[in-house]
Amino acid sequence: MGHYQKSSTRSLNNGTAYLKMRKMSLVELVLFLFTLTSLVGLVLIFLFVIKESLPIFLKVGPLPFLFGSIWQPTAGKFGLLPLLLSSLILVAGSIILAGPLGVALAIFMVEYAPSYVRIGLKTLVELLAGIPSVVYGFFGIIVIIPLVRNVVGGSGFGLIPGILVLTVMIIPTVTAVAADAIRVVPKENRLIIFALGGTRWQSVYRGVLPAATRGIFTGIILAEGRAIGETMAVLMVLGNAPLLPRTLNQPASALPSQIALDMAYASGDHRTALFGIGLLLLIFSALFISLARRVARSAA
Amino acid sequence: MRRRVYDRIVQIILIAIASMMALFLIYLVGYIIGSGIRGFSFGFLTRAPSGITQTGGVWPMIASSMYLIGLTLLIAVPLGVGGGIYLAEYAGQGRIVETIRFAVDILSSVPSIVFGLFGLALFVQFFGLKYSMLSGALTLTLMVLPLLLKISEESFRAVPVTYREASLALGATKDQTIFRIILPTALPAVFTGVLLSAGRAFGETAAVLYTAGLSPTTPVFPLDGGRTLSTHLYLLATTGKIEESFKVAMVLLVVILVFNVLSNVVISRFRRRFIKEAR
Amino acid sequence: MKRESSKTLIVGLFVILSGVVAITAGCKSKTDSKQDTKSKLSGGVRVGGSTTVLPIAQAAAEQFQAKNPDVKVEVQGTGSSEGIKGVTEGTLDIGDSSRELKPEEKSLGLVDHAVAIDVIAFAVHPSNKVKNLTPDQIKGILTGKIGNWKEVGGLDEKIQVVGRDEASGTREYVQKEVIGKDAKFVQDALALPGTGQLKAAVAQTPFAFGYMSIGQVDSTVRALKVDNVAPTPKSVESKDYKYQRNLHMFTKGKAKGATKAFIDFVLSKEFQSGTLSKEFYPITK
Repeated sequence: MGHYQKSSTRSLNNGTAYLKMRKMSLVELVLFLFTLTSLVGLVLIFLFVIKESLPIFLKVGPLPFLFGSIWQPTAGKFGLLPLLLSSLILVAGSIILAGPLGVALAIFMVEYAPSYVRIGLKTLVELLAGIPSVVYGFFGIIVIIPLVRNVVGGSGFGLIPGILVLTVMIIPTVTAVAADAIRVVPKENRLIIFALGGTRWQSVYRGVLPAATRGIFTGIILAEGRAIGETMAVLMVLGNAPLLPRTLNQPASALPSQIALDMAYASGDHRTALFGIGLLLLIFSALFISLARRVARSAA
Repeated sequence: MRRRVYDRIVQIILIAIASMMALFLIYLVGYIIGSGIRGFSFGFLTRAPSGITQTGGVWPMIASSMYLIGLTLLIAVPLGVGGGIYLAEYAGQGRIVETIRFAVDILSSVPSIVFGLFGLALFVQFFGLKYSMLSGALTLTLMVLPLLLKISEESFRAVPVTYREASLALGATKDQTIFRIILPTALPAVFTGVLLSAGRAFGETAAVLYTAGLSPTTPVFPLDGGRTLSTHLYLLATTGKIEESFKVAMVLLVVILVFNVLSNVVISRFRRRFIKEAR
Repeated sequence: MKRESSKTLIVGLFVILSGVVAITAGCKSKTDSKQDTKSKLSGGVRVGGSTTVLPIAQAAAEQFQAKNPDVKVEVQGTGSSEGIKGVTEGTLDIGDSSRELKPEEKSLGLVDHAVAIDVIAFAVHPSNKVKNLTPDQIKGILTGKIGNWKEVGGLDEKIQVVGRDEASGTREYVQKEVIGKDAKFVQDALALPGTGQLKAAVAQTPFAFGYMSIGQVDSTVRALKVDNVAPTPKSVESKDYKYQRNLHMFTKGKAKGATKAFIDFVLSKEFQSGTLSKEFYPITK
């Protein structure tokens, strides 16, 4: 597939170059403008979010805003540290669970499962990815929170159900990207190990995984990007108390869910502070995707 | 010998993980549909919520969701498919195209709540479109655009180069080749992109909560507000109307299932057609 | 670059323009349908504002329209402030609010129609031994000065305060009338986005303490007495139970025509005791 694609684009590009020498046709111009909307949209998003959040950075100062330990917007205290730390714990916790599970699922799909099982699992992963986050949040409320309450006590709301819900939500991302990476590892990598008398697991562990490492990491980074921005499901199970996280069994509030919670009524500094959180999330996700691109590219 | 035992153990662990995931999904879907179907009647879909508890129907929410998806696709499909054609058929390797690709990647990673925040500030407040279908659709357009672009571009690239050569050899111009030959051929695959985008828009909450609004009314004009089905589930679940929540969650799940199955059927047909030539 | 972005702007404008065209077309058809038949009530009533009042307005609209088929009642729920703003600016005929007018809103010429009483109950898990609290104890618990049930006569267990998010009118009321404007809720209080979720959390957490509208209280939670007064219809009417507030519908100037008829219907005995009383306390005149 890849080989074919390259040759097709090359021959087409020659054609384009030929056309370009004359003039851009009207059709091409219009299509180009259509393509440009993504870029324009992204720039608009960045500009608008920066513009709306600027006052809070100027008023509170970037460092006290990011690392202040009290978030009480109605009392004029805008410290993001509790939200920031909670978000990081959620991302770390869910990736620790979803990483190994997702990669294991990918290995099983590609290397072990017979084809009908593989197709079944692939459908499963796609479905998990397609389920709306409010449905996960609802599931968290009716199943996971009572479970957590019974096992560890307390109100049940907090970081633990947050991590569990996020884990389920990001496994599909890890699995899908990791499975692609494992699939494209050349057959020879496996055959060599078998030829040397290795077992199947050795062929995977020695032959496949080293070649797929970068692809797997791409999947994990993309999943982290998804986890840090996830809003509704987290909002529904976290308890939304902006506490500095001390244990896992405590209510907390995360960056994106705080925006959703306050957006309806926030005004003045509070509003600009929410845009400040939005800017932070934008930067986080741009960093994650750039990192993922870089890792993926150096793999090729 | 020890290696064999080790190999076996790993295999068992992997099987356990895979079956655990499968069981979990079956449990989740089964639990929600099993609980939602109790007391479910078709009228639930066609009635408006009524009485002081405002329960018993979801018609305005279904209408809002469909309206919003329709309007979103109306704006996003020309942009996304047109952009996909450009990237696949015209774009070279220039710096502008690279920048656009990078922007598309970043746009695809922007958290939906940030889209919501942006939509609230720009469309709802700055342009004065209020909480409306139009505000929601413009916000969702930006959100689904990367997905549409990517899938359309891939679909066009999957059309065998022989098609182009044959068309050009017959004296067709490049534009004719693209719109008469390549677009119709790639259409089924493009359609899966549209389906996936519709599915994403359907399930989205954070981006529409404060752009399309919460009003439980049936929208008629693009500037009417409305409450989507997924927003409705959020409100029901947090206001503790659990029985009603199960029904709505079931409807959401079934629709997503249908979207998934449909797009899988379409794409596998498309693949089967080109699989030999493409490999 | 500049030329290209201006092109996209044009596309955007086109989209917006088509929206505007659709709207004006819509408005036209609306005025056409407004034929005045003098004997019967007709016209439109636009109601909007507080989401707390929303179910009342919607339930009333359903029944009212069934009786007066020529009147179209449009109901929106956006928030108390938007309701007050809307009725002031004339985009709404009735503005719903779960709060009183702010001082700066008093001069806008709005007429208040109290349509229901919302009673705030303080609730605990049914197994909790504590049955009665003083207002000071409640304030202490909500602000965190009292952190253990044994300080108020219960078991030696930590109190988990369960509250609403800041958009909630109930929370605003508790802030103002119970703990005082400048006091802060205890830091680890849950801030749940919906009142039903709050009730469920109290119902399932043995040492929780929460505040909620009386309409939410059922057998899964127990409402506390305050100064030995339980929230009952009687104590609410006599104002012995003091944590209550009115829910309002505001009109700009005196209500007229269909708008007046609608408000009269909301206040009618039929609606108040037949429908509204299932979730709220009827307004007593």
